[in-house]
Amino acid sequence: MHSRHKILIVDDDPDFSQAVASFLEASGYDVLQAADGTEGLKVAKAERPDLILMDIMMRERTEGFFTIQEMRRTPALKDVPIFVVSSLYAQIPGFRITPEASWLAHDAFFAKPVDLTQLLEKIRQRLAETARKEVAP
Amino acid sequence: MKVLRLPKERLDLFASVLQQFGEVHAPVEQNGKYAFRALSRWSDARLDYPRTILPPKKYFVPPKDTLFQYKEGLGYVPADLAADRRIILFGLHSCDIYGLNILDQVFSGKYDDPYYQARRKNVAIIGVDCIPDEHCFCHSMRADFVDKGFDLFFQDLGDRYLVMVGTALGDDMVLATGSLFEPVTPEDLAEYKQRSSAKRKAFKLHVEIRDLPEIFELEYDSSLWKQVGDRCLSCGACSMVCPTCYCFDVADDVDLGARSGSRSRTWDSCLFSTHAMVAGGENFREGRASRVKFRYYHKQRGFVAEYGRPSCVGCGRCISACPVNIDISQVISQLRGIENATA
Amino acid sequence: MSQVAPSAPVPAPANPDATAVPGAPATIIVIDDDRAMRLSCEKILAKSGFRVQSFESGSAGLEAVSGLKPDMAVVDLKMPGISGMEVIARLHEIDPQIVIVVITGYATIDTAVEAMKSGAYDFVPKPFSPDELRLIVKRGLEHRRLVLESQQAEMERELLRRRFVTFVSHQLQTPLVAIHQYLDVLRRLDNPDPAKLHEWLDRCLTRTDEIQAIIKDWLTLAKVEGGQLVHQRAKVDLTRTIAEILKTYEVLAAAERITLENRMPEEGCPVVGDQNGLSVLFDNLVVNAIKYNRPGGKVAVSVERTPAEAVVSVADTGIGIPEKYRKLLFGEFFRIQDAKKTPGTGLGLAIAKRVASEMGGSISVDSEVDVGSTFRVRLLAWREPDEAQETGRA
Repeated sequence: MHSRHKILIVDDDPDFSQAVASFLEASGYDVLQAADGTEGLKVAKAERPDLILMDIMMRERTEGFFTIQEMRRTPALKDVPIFVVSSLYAQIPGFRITPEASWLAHDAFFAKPVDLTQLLEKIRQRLAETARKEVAP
Repeated sequence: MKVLRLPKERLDLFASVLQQFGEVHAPVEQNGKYAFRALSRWSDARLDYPRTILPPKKYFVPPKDTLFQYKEGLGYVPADLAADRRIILFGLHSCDIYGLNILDQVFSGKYDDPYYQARRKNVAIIGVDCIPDEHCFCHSMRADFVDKGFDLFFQDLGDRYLVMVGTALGDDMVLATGSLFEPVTPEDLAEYKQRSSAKRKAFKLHVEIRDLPEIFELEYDSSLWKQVGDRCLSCGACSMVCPTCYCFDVADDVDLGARSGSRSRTWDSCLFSTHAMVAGGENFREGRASRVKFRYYHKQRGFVAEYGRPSCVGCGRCISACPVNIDISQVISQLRGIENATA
Repeated sequence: MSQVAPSAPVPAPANPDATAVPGAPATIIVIDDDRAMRLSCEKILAKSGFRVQSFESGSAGLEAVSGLKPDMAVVDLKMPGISGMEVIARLHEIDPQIVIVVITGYATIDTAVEAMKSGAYDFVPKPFSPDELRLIVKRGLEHRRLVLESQQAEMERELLRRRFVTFVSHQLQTPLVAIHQYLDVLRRLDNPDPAKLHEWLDRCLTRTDEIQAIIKDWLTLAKVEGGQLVHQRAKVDLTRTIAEILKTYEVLAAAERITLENRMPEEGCPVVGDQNGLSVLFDNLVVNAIKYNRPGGKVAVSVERTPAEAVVSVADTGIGIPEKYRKLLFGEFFRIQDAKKTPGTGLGLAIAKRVASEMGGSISVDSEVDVGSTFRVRLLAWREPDEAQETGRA
């Protein structure tokens, strides 16, 4: 049996982080938290999470996107699944980055507040995919 | 040509969308100077920079470029060009784009260079306009405006940009952003024209290039070159920072035992003492004066003969970088016999 | 073209709308080929305090319009060269808001109607008495004032609407998302730890307080822009105002060991303004000075006076404001990212700035990081009626 998967939440709102972290922990995951992009990058490099939930609007409106760029430039983090969790698209109508179209991809997008059931389902799916890829490279 | 407008407050959103097409690099500040780097956050970008230390050529002709490796039993292994690494250079000034267009002539003209080509294909160029400072003379070198070599070009209109689309990729970038761009208004055009003409008048440094190759020819034996040569340190900084200096040296790095090794090319400079040394030990430009003279002649006359235009773009980096303050515009003025010029 | 020297000098107005500055006389141009008529109009209008300039022909008048930026034009319909009707059309092309009064010696209903249809505000048939001219001019200028004001209001409504969208989506979303997330998780947990439950409910309440504060500040800003809190022009004693504000913050300051110093002159500091608006303004500055201060620090309020102005300084020994934020400081929702995560709505300074400018004053800041900040508010000093200069209201 493998150990619990590690999920990193990068979000500058401690309340949001706390709530989602508790839920994910209760659902069987180990959760790490980081309060901004720089810290998120540092923790990700050190801990190698299995999946990252990335907020976009932190100190800057588009901070999260650039943190994703930095992560993709880091060889160890190039392929880690990243879910964007943000209310940015709700706040700027007409603006949207389709996850699939991205060159520096993120794997899914969730609007805030997050539907926890859907989030959990998507996390399970994505981690299962990674597991399959590892077994049959 | 398609023209659109983008309010400046949306620039960070645009830069985020750009990540679909590659890593976004832009000028960032380091210790009071500027350099092109991958961005960690949009606010690091300094689009109002005067010039970067190194020109964008470092993306296409890296200071040290491994060409291939070889190993006993394995044969030749071509270098990994990271050809799947897409980069977007956001914020190139016209002079630098002009410089890249010149490098295109050199590396894809008579001798097609696959290393340069692979990188050129994977790097997108977004230009940004600028206000000349006291070292800029790109207007004199006709490099203050480019009509090709960019995917998008942003003209600053105060609180918004006038955006010119240069290629299909640039068009895709605009389409990907959906509703961020707006149509251009007559006020925008009027503002652009006004600023464009104001910028032309803002140049403080002027260099007349019209009969310059001929003057160079006539002044081949001028004592000026000894004067400049005496000051020059042959450090090569001017070549390193020049957008169009492309001289390179090729050397093999062989492991002890000679079972494997690699070949790489590195930046070279005609100012280095061994630049004109050939097998047998003969050095055609042993003195510094002759080497300094060579560089000027290549840039302003030799290149003209070969490619039809001087390779100097007037960016002012050499003036900025020279540790002994040799100023190309002053050297040329002295050559022209202009009073009060101090080379 | 002969420009008859008007009785009053005609400087180019400093701002494009002379009537927007209270007390500044309106600028009127008169276009008539009849010299006697020009002189007579100039005399009549100058006497009422207007700035007048007259022109012999339509073309001369049109040439000067963009430079003079007049509020009103009195135009003769029948002139050689460019006709009065064409002058009307061209004037409106240059300035759609200019008020045009037509004078004509051939007053038929048709001519009058045609002129009005082409954009004239009213017409005066010749011959007219000075009072008749003055009356129509006065009505025309009043009309212009109303039009401009309603356009201004429309612009502000539009801005308000757009900002409201930003406000609703941005500022309110964040705390609401946090509350929702907490409550959703609590609902799903089978056996929530009582301590955690308690902590989370506390956090939810704190976030709802945050929403309340934002709504309150937003309403204040809307009131200021709607003219409430700023429309009174009364004598306000700032010494009293400041003293009252400092008193309300005594407890908060004491909690952080911050000293509040009132250096306002004991004899009082009268300024022109709206009592409520000024209270809101200084309340915002004082509470900022306390919030962004260091423990054991100081807040000092003082004033420098000249006969015309009072410049009130609110100085703190706090974290200071980095240079790069200075320009953005007074914008809405601007918050400095500080380590303490000081609670706030980001509207305080926007409100303060708005109030100050509505009262004919301004607000500025000097600051040094880790040393402190000083906010300076310029306000008009109150002058007793016999001291006040004539403003020459038209």
